[in-house]
Amino acid sequence: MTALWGLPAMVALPLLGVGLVLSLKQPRHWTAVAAFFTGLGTAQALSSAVGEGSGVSAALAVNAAISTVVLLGQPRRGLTQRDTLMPLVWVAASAVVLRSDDARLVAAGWVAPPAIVFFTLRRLSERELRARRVVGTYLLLGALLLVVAVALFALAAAGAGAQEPFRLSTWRTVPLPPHLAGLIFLLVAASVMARLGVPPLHSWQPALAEALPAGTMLALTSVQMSVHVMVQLALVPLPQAVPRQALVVQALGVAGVVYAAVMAASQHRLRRLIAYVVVAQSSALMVGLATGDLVSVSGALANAISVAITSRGLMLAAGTIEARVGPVDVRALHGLSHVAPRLGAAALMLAFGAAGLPGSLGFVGEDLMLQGLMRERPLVAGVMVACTALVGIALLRAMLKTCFGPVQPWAATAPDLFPRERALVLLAVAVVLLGVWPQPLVQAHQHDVAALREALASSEGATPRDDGPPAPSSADACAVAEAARPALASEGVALPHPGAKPAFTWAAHGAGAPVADERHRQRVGGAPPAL
Amino acid sequence: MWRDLVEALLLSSLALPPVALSGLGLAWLVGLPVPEAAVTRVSVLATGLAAVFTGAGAAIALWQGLLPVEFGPYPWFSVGHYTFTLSFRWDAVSLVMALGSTVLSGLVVGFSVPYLHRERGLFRYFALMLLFSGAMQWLVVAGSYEQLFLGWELVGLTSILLVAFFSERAQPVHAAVRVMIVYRLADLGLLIGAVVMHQVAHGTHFGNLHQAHLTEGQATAIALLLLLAASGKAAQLPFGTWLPRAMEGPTPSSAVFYGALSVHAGIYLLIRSAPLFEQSTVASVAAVLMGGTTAFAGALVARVQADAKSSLAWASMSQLGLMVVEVGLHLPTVALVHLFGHASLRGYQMLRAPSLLHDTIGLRKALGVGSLALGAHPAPGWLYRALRDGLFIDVVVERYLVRPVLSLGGVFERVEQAWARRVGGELQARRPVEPTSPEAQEHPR
Repeated sequence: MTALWGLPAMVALPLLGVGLVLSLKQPRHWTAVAAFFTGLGTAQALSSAVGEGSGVSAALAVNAAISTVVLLGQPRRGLTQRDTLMPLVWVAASAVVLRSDDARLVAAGWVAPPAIVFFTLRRLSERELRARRVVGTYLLLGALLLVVAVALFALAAAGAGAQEPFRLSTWRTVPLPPHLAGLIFLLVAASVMARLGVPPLHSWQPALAEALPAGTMLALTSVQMSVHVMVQLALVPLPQAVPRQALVVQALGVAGVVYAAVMAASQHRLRRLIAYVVVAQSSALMVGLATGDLVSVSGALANAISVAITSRGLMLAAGTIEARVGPVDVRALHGLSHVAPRLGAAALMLAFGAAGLPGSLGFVGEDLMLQGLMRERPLVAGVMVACTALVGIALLRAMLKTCFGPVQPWAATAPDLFPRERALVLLAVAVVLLGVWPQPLVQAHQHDVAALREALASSEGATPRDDGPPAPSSADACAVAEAARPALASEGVALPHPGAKPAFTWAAHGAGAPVADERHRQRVGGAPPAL
Repeated sequence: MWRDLVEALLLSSLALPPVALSGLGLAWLVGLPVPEAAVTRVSVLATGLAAVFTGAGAAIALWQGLLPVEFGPYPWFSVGHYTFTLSFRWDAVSLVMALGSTVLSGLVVGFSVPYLHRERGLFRYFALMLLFSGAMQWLVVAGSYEQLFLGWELVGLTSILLVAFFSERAQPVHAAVRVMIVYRLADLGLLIGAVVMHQVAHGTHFGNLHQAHLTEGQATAIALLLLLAASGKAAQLPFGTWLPRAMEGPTPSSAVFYGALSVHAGIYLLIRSAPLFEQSTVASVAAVLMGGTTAFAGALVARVQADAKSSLAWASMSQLGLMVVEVGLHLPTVALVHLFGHASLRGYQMLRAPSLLHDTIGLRKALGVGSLALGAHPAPGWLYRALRDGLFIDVVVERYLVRPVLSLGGVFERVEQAWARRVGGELQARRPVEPTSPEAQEHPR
């Protein structure tokens, strides 16, 4: 019975749905069957989350619920079997990636969605062939980078005598040479950045956002999966060997936020604008993750859920609008709220959530990320907040113009949400509810945070600043450090002054702090103090 | 026991408007019929009861000598050792503001019932007023900067949506977008300021502000960030030109937002932060300069405006500038008294603005004169034009800030499109709808 609620069932149910959809001939039956199975998956994950208190199950429930809403809400015109299958595939892949401890399974779950989209885009039209090239160039190749990283790590683990070289939970204990650790970290980070759409690996986001239906796009953008992979395959097994690589990732993330903010501000087409908003949010997530601060990483993980909900919700809203009035240029379409008030209200609420306004889950995630970033890198935090505000301005400006203003004659008869489309309202309400009561989803990825905390605590005897025991910052530790300061200074080693940055940051490790730590350990004994 | 009772009254007054909003909003979203009578009665009841509860709580607190009192902390969310806690503070400042906020909100909601009778967007209006009422109350009783930020943002959000209320025309929407841009940029100051304070002072509670051991540099940095935030909300130059544009909204909401409450949230923030300004000469001088400039310019520009609400808006900016000067001169109590008096008078004037013609005719009849015209302005032509156009601030911002960013975006976009074509060809589904409407032609970006 327990197994029924475990990983096999979470994968088997959606795959059973895939089999059934494939066996059906009538297009009108595809959506019903697929939505039934994703709904069942939502219920199963929720019961697991409530019954076992499992955070991963809560995250999976969010994914399955998003799939159900997308399946119900996506416009019917031109819908292919692939568009109803991909949400099911995505739910199964999410379950594998988020719950498995086997790196081979994680890699398989990571590669499967883009690979399936790639191989099913070949038959229909020249347009699809072009989309296929984009998927192959960015997403499939990007996903394969993770396979290479897993293979390299497993080889190194086997070489080091590990009994189970593919078991993720043992990777932390595998000793790796610094250059190999750096290479693996960069491979994982590049794979994640390609999947998230972080510049310069982002071009697929705006291109495919306009070309592919919501169901297929859902499978290609996997925010929660991406942050989980980054934590479990890069940050946890390689916590201290990669300070410079983490800085590279962080720099790319900051540049990505700036670039996406400027791009979003100059967009006219709604789908492209939303795509750039997602690019900016994804870049911000990478900045938060690469900081290595536990609060910041927790914020990035919580924000990933918010981004997953709001980005899919906004894309679905854009698709719903376009099904009524054609592709949307925000300079031309106005007054949506007059003709379709519930559609307008849902779109606005989702936009407020994406902009991180208080009362939405995005605010919680951004607050946590900012707290961590401000401590480690205040300048980066300032730039990121400013650019995030610019992105919010671009999005809210577009949504205000779309929802309000004089109604255009060609849009005057657009109907409001149909009953099946009211699922979109559920996403909008969820954004607010989760913002008011965020704790369950803040805890959803706590297994990732716990693993990272453990990794940081065990690395080089250093203690994480925020989640670890507060002892290192006690007055005794400071006194010991002050006593050792003259001796260390005579050797050219400077200890940080009280009020300076915490002792354990990757930046500090990259700038010679390990040397200071080691000498301190030899002279004073015990772990170096965090001042 | 009395303390518990006051706490219950305060929490009830905070909860009533959001609960009413949630009920009405959910009913509307799921498609249930929500008649006008239900909307107005629920709104009046919620805001009225909030005012009564606040008044009762204030009376008990004063009678029992409980002030200053802090309720909480209530944990909201936590990660590891970091916990975002909520706490509510009642002292002389927040008591004045809370009473003013709930009473004025209740009065304006009541005033709006006949004013907006059978108006098309009535549901939206009252929903936003409920949200505003709850957010404003939250803002003034918040126990910390981080918590204040929550109410601050929601007040801004409702302000933006109410400016765009008469959205059958294009102009209110453009005005709302302008207000939104200024608010979002200025709010960065509060957000970053709160986080910086959290880092350097290990907390942002107002009660601990006097005991926070900040260096002068730290106090200056935080105070300047908060001044930036306040200058956005309180319409201080160079950010203040959004205020006359915001008069596009319904008159009752203009009264409560831009006459009585919302614009004074910026001054409230500065009054709360008075200990920081006392520690920082630079920030104090900056406040005096900013407030003084705004007061002078606002007084001049208000004299050449052609419509009543714009004139009142500029006059409000002028008075708000004086309040900023008072905070800069370390006179927060004077600023608080000034705030309360100005909020009451300006709110009343805004509500009377639609009746200005009627009032003028009545005054003329009473005085037995034919005209009350003031005659030609004595200012030279160039000065008159500059004042009429709001000192050209919008033009300068548009030319030297907005256009460069959009131009840079255009360059990036061309590079991006070229690269996308190289990788996968043109993937755009169909040509987007062309901007054919007169509004789109008139306001291309």
